[in-house]
Amino acid sequence: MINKLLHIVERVEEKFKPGQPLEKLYPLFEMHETILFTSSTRTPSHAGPHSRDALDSKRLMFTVVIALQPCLLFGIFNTGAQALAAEGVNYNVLEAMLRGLFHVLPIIATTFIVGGLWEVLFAVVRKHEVNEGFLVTGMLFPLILPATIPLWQVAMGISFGVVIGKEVFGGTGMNILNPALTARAFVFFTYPASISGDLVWNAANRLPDFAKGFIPHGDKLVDGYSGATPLAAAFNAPPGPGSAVDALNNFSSAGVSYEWSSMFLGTIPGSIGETSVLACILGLVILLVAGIASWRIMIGCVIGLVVMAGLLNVLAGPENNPMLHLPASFHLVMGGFAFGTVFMATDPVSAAITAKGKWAYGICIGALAVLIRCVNPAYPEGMMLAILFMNVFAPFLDHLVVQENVKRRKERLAAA
Amino acid sequence: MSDIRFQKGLNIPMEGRPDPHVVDVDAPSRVALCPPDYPDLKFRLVVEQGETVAAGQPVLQAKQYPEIKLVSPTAGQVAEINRGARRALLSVVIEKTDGGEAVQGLAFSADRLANESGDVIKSAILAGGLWPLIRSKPLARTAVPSDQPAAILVSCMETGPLQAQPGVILQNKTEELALGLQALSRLTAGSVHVTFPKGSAQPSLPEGGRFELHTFSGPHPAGDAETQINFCCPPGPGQKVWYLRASDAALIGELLKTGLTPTHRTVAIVGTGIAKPAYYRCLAGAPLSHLIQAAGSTTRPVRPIGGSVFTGRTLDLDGFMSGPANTLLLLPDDVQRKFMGWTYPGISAFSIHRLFVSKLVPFNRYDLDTSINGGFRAMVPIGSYEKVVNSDIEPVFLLRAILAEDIEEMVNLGLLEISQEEAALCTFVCPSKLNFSEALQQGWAQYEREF
Repeated sequence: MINKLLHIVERVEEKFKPGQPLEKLYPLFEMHETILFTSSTRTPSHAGPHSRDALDSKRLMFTVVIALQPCLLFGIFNTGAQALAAEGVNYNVLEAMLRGLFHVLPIIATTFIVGGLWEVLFAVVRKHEVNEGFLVTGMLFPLILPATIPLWQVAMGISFGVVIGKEVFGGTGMNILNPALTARAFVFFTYPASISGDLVWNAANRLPDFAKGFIPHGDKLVDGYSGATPLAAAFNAPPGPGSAVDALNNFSSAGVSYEWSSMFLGTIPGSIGETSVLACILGLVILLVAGIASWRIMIGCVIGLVVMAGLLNVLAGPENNPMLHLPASFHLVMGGFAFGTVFMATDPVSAAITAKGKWAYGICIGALAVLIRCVNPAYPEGMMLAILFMNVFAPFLDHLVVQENVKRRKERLAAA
Repeated sequence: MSDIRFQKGLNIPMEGRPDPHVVDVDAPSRVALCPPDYPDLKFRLVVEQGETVAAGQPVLQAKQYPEIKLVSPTAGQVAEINRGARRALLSVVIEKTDGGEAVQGLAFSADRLANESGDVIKSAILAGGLWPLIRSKPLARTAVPSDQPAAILVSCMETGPLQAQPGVILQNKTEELALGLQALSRLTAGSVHVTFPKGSAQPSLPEGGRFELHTFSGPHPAGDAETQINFCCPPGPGQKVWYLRASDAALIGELLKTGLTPTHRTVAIVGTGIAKPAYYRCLAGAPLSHLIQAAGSTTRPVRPIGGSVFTGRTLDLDGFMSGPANTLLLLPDDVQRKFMGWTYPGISAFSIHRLFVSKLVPFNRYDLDTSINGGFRAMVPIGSYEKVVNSDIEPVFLLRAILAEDIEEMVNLGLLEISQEEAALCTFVCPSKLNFSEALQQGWAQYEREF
């Protein structure tokens, strides 16, 4: 059976070989072929090494996608749960999942179809293999969007992320910025009404008419829903120490509370996959066990956040902005910090490469994220901008470390 | 004595380890000298087809350094001269005749070695055809006889997967090794650095001479001489450091002791592709078919490799054993295309990365093959290289500089420092399947062109 399939694959391959009619579409064929069967390519025989490590790009990227599953599954549940709660419905887990799927699945499908088309197009034109890195980008991008985002904006965003964020530089491995964050930044600055403010974080009342019949409780109608995110709630608290925490603890709207524990569990409105710190920690465990994501970057992010938040706590006077008084423990569980730290800052292509560079890169991201949150009222969420900003500076950090290495080498040679 | 511990590196527990005993193999009817064993040298013939040669008589001569010669390991007749593309010499086959003469060179006692001039010793090694065993860092080239090396490093250890262990090859060769070390100490104004595994017996050193001992421990390439130089005696600007394995130093000792070129080599025949992996002692340059028959035939389709899985040279099953290699690896070549391979838990897959179930199985032994295990992709630096490079080098940036052909930058980043073994380890572990080894050779070639 399997042998027969292999035989068919090998016969089809003939049509994509150089000189054959479908030669140009070889990357498309290769993509599907290598999903079905491992490669038959051998190591070059003219020089060693004659054998290779079993890990390839496919398994690497697929493992990251697996690490994202806790966030995805919880995100689907939470999207449904928040919507149903706002609509004043008593729901069970299954109903919440179903409702969540209805909102989230189209976003994921749009991302993969539109982004995938760009990937394949560039692979065919540039004559290189379709890179599995897109699996990760395509999974990350929906998770950092609100569930209410219009699908055409998803399509525009992922197009910008893939083409301008990645392909113009030569594709996966050559990009300077994290493509998923580039895509989100594009949506954020181009269609701010869809991705900021108080109106977009809950999918209540967003069911189209045709779906109302078969989605459980789809016929429930309430008045327009609006709710501030924790960051906005904290930001809008009166000035002075402790008021931001009070505002969060006392916040209550449609059954949602912004206590520390709810923010840790993620049972609050927000971007689809970002709300639950617990789910991020599950993903983090997978990434750390597999040794894919850099623990230096992640610890760096936390250190940067704690130090900067502590510094602001100490320096802020009673008349100042309440965010300046927000303790680090709250910063850790708010907004996209946990998700960004685990999945975005650690993107190996756009992060720093050297060990020391990774520490500096992580610390700067953590510190900048807090600084942007507290000081800049226009962007309550600082993580996205902090990571993109440090993506740009990562090569500079590496340059400093590499120059140190060069200097040591010169000293060594002079001593020899 | 310094003690150096490698924190990084990679031991591959490959299946097919040799039994640690030496089996004597009958002499084959023909042997060959193979110029491709020394890729940095070009050779010209000094004999003609059909000519009768004595054991130890020069057959080939390096064009760049005419004093470097390859000599016949046996008395016989030049039977075949095989050439490849652009008339490059591939092998010179010598039909063995029984009896026959041997070229008698100078014989040295330990006393005479101590008093003789370095140039006389050098000419004796050159005349015996063993000079190409001495390598030179940087660039891993054959040592240039007229050079004055700043130091010489001799490694009495081997950490590469399935590689012939000096402990077995050097049985009963204590005297030869000591003579070899003494001879080497006369070739440099600096020290001879002798490295051996931590916790094992110290090799016996000859009286007099400047020797420095170092112990190494940790994963491969802890035993690789070219890598060890970075930690013992890195060459300064314009300097050369020569290096060789202890087994090769013992061959030099044997040559100088008797004045006769050593005719036999002990070769570890290893890998899952062979029925009886063990050590075999045979005439140098024997046909592979002869050695394989002695080791009980191949068990499956194989790629024969002279040397290690990392830096060895692919041989021809119808051809002859590599001259300088002391391991013959028969690496399985029957690559299977697995259905949906990326979903397998990977119980028998070897990886330095923790993405396979095999990481949970202690003392697992692995059956590697020639598969590339994936496809070529752009660089995704997840820190694989940094797990295997011990020298003070930023490997990702060095590779980028080489690929960008930025000669100044690559030299600054350690082009002349990184060893072939380290580059091969980087190639091995790279999930994007980039070929660091090939890039390094290109970088070295560019360096030679421009300086």
